[in-house]
Amino acid sequence: MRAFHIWHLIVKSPLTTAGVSILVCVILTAIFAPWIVPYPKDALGATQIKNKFRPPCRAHLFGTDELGRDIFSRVIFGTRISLQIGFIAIGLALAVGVPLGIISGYIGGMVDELIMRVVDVFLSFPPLLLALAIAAMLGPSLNNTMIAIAIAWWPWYTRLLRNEALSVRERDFVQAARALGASCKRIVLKHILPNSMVPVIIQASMDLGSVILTSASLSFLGLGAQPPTPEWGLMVSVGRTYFLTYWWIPTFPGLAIFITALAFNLVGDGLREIMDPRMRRRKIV
Amino acid sequence: MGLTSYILRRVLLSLFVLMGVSIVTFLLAWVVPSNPAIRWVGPRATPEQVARARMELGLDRPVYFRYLMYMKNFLQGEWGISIMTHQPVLRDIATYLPATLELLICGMLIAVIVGIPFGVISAAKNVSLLDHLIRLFSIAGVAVPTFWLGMLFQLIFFKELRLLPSGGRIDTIIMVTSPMQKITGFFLVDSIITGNFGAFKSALTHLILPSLTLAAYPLGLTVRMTRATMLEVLNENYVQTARAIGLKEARVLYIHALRNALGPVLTVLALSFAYSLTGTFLIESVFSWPGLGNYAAKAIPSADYPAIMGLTILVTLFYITLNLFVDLALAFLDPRIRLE
Repeated sequence: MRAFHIWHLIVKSPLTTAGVSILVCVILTAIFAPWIVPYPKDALGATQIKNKFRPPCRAHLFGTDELGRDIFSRVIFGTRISLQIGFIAIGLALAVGVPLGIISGYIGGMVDELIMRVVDVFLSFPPLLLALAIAAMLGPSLNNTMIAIAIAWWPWYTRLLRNEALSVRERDFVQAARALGASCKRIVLKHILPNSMVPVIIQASMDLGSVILTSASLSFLGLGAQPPTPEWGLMVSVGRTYFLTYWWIPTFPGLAIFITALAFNLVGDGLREIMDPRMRRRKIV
Repeated sequence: MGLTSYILRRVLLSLFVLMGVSIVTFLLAWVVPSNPAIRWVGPRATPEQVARARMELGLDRPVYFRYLMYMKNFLQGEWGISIMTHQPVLRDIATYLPATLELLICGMLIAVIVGIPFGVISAAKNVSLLDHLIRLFSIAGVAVPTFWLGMLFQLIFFKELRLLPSGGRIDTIIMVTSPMQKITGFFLVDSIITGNFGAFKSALTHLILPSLTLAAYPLGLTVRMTRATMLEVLNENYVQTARAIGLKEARVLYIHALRNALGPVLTVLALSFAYSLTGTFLIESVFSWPGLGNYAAKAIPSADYPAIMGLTILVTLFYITLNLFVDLALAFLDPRIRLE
């Protein structure tokens, strides 16, 4: 499908357009965070006790927290952390999942059988639960969260890539390359991999929303980032103690998680419809 | 392939997966932690105590031997002692399970009762404003952090409107004035059986916010799935025929089309049932709901590894069994599946 055609389909759906717009804003916020935040020191954990529990006002758009830190600054900086967790965790999962998927799909036979059975086992855990158990066993830290999420996510990519590779393997151009005497390495790297990656990349970008949600959930349970990191899940978790009196402390970080996850899901949903012609929007009379 | 051989194959596959799961949980419990013995005796233990713990835990034995011991204990129902409650993990689970199941069932009921009609309407009114709104609602349900949604509900319905309680399972005063007889462990059922209507009302009001929060995720998935499969089914010839012979639209949608769209929806429901069980870890802690989720949320910060592993195994077992049942039910109902 041509890029222009895909773009046309995206623009045609208001929900997908909304998702793309929010996502662009989120990414720009993450990039320009240091220039946007009014109180950069607060974002990194400086305390201003005399300012604590200020409700939202002009000086502090989202109010201040229990240590007097500007919540707006912390939420803006949190964008970087959440996106970073998302990209690194998915990157790690792809780094494990893609090679295994290629091996499984291209070599086939016993190797395929073995890898796919391991994949089956990992897929039989609910992902949040597996990530939670691994993070609990590794100990609470941001790095461990990313490792835990990657371990819970790689099998999805392995299975997807394997199925793609299986079908690409039988295509004429691969047969032709083989007949011309191309090496196994060349066939895999130059022909199979580039031609089976598209669905995997799409799936991975759709997963970013759930990964960000999962990492926030782990932080909420005390397994992810540790104070004073301005991580959204952690901010909601800490704000819980005060929220019936000072509603703004957990509300804004939570809203940030919601909006980011929503944007990724809207885009993902749109992409899925575009990729699956049966679901393409049409009027049923 | 006949039904019997399909069932046999599916059950064998599940058994194989179960074995794999047991290996993964074993590795998680006994290999991933850098030093399980120190973890067992605590950080202030002397080297002698650590050495003794290593012996007692069998950490000096080869890995395969430890795995077999782990399986033996597991099958005998010895899932370890919770560090937090000093009770056997399995007994803790039995204590907290009914509260969680009650919450889970109510949440799933909301998801089904609201989700399926929403999905049908969204598909029937494809590409209308209503369709867009329902889709936005369903995607929001999947994307919303449940722990935050729960807190918002508390803020609105407890603090501002003073309509509903903020947490717990029943009023403490009710528990004193008209105590609940424990029969099934489900407060709603027990209070009805015993005719204790004060307790029933209190239990019901306490259940509303947590089950609405819990419903968000499965509700979103159900709407999405119902919509997607309905869109496919509505294009089939028999639906056109049903319309052509002049059946009412509601009858075409809810009787003829929906029946054939329900298979994938059932699978998604089973899947999200097990997902929501993990979701209770977050929701129950927000609503101080005395169930497994709250138990898990407390076990995590206190590094109660036996409890965490026990819960992981329980939820996964639940997940695999549920999947198996759904697959078997679908195969029973739809002969095409057996042939695939």
